[in-house]
Amino acid sequence: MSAPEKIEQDEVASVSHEELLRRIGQNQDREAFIELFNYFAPRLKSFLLRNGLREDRAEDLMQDVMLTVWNRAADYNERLAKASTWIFTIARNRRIDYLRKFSRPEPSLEVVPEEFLQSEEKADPVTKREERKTIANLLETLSPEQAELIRKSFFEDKAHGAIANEMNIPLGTVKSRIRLGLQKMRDTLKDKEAWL
Amino acid sequence: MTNAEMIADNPRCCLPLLLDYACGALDEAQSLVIATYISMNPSVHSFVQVCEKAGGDLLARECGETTVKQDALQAVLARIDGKKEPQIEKPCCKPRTCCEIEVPAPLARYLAFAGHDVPWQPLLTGMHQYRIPVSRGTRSIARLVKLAPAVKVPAHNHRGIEITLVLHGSFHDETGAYKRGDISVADSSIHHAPVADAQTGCVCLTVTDAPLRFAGLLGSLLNPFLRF
Repeated sequence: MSAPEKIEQDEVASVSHEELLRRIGQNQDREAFIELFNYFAPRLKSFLLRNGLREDRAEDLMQDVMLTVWNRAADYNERLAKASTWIFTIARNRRIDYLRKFSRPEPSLEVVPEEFLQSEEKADPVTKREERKTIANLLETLSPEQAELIRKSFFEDKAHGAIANEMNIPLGTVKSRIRLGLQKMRDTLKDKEAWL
Repeated sequence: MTNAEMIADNPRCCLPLLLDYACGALDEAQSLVIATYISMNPSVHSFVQVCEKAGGDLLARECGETTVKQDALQAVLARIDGKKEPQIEKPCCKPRTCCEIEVPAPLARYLAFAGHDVPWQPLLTGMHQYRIPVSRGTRSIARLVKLAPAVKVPAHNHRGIEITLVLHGSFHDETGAYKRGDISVADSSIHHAPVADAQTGCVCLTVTDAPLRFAGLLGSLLNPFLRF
């Protein structure tokens, strides 16, 4: 691969996933969708496999999730969630529909409190990229014990009680680790003012 | 101290349940009570958002790239171009008033009675319940429980986890006082006998994943029959 091509690729990669979603939502941009698909499809499938789904089911569900991403992209609000967060929630809800056969009760927030909204000032793309660099992965801000519990919750699709049983850790210890972990992550985000 | 910090400081706080909810690990009845709770306490929502963001980070950064089917992209593009597939629409429901209680939207969806009154069933003196229908196979049971003013629930502890959200009035027990919008999470370490407010009584949304254990002589009579 020649050097100029490499640079060009990097430039392509620098279009944020949030921007790709915006292009899909506003212009039904297929190129943007293909780029998003190439990034997220293998990760989604891997996530679903780690959740215990069989290979063919994980593949089907991944395709469903990506189709939903296309269909719902117009609803995506960059001020409310990062692209990866939004896609994670779609995958979670489709998995619940599929495995547990119920439609997940969702909270209704008639007024979204201002603290949940990314301010216009913070929406500056350069600042955002900087912030993303400083906390690329929220779990890295946690102690290994706290992070392990949160990983297990997501990857193994288990409630905290089941995790306590399985790991043979007292329920109270599991609860306090989760409590401290969530507070820590929330404080980190508050300090960095980087919800997104 | 902000409202969210107070919630986090409560030793019986529900943060672990919020994580379970964000992961999708709760059953339908438990998801219902947590979604209703969040609707009544918007500041709690930030914790769920923190969890979802962690989920997004795990998806983007810690999931190895598994091989997808060679024609996966083509298959999805074909579905995009094909006939509009029926979308799974969430039944939309507005908050509504039910027996003079304001019911948040997630719960209102489950209280679609033909009439306007909850079809209460008597349970014990001064106690009524309505069992909320959920999908088959849901482990937990969701109920509306109505306590007349000053009524005391027989002392009990829990085999599993009992989540109680106050919708109207208030109650108090050994662990504190709970008013509209407050949640009480009781597990096997909690033994309590809730008492409804003397003026207002209390209406709660209660979700249990195992039958309660009532104490004492009354309990030995109640346990086999009440199956609460």
